[in-house]
Amino acid sequence: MLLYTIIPLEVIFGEETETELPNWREDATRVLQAGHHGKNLLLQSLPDGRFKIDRLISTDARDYLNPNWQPGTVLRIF
Amino acid sequence: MESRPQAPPKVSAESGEENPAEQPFEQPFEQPLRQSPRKQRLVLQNLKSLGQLHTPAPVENYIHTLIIVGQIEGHIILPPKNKTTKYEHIIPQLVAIEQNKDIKGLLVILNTVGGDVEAGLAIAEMIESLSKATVSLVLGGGHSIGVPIAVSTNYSFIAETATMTIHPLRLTGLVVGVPQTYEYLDKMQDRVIKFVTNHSKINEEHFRELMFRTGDLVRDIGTVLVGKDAVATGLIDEIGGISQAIKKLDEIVELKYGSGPKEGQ
Repeated sequence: MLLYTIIPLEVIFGEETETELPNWREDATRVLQAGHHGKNLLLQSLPDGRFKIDRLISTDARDYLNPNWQPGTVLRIF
Repeated sequence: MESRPQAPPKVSAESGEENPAEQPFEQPFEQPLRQSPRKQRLVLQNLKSLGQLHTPAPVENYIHTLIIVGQIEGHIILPPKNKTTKYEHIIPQLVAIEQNKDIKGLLVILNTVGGDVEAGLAIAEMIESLSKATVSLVLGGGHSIGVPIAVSTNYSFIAETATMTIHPLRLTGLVVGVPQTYEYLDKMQDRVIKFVTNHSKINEEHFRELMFRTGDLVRDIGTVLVGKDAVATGLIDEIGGISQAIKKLDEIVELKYGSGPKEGQ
């Protein structure tokens, strides 16, 4: 594996110290929801089974103006 | 935790509705300022026949945007605290853009600290071999493997305050101390150098000199090029921002596709 980057490897792979957010492991659960027409939503699972939109991945800039897909929106998927 | 009111309910078992993330296509949304006569006719037609201003499918945006941020993640998943761009998302999007007849240009916006060499080169080669008009814009940073991606487009811009770090490849993990290790590293580095020098105005000697210069970087050898420096060395074409990038993209689209209507017919 060749990582060609300016960030030192101990920062990329390093363990967090006590000063880091204590819940970052839970917060970091990511799910990728394949969406409609090639648009993807990066979702973060919340403890009660719902999902919060972390990020929209799309090449069409107009999608980022769509209020339904703004980061922070909570979805309920049954 | 919720920063917004809840979106309308998602997939519901009883009604078997479609994923409401798709619903936005049903709702009319703000159309761009440019409304082709055909679109206006369609809208009026809908109004007369259906009694609603319901546009059918939205006309494809003729320029698409690709954002590359953080680390470029390739063969190994990095710990979650890293913000990454996964190349397996980028590649299918590029294929879709190439196949779509309505998309005529691609704007690649970069703010990356580098990442996996193979993933970065894969993205760079894909962008380079697109038949569409492509323009890149380096904002913030376009370091390490971000350099090949920045130069892979038809034309490249860099913001005045953006930086690009040119430095040698380093092996990670267990390094076996035999001559083959050095040769391997050299070969990998050559891949990057050849791509960059073939797709920009900088020559190989100058690029290698930048890569092995001492005194610029704290923990490594190499060079930090800020906006104007990157243009002066011939790596990037021009200093500019979003308006210049879109203007240039329009110019290249016209060159490639003629000055016909871009949206709709």
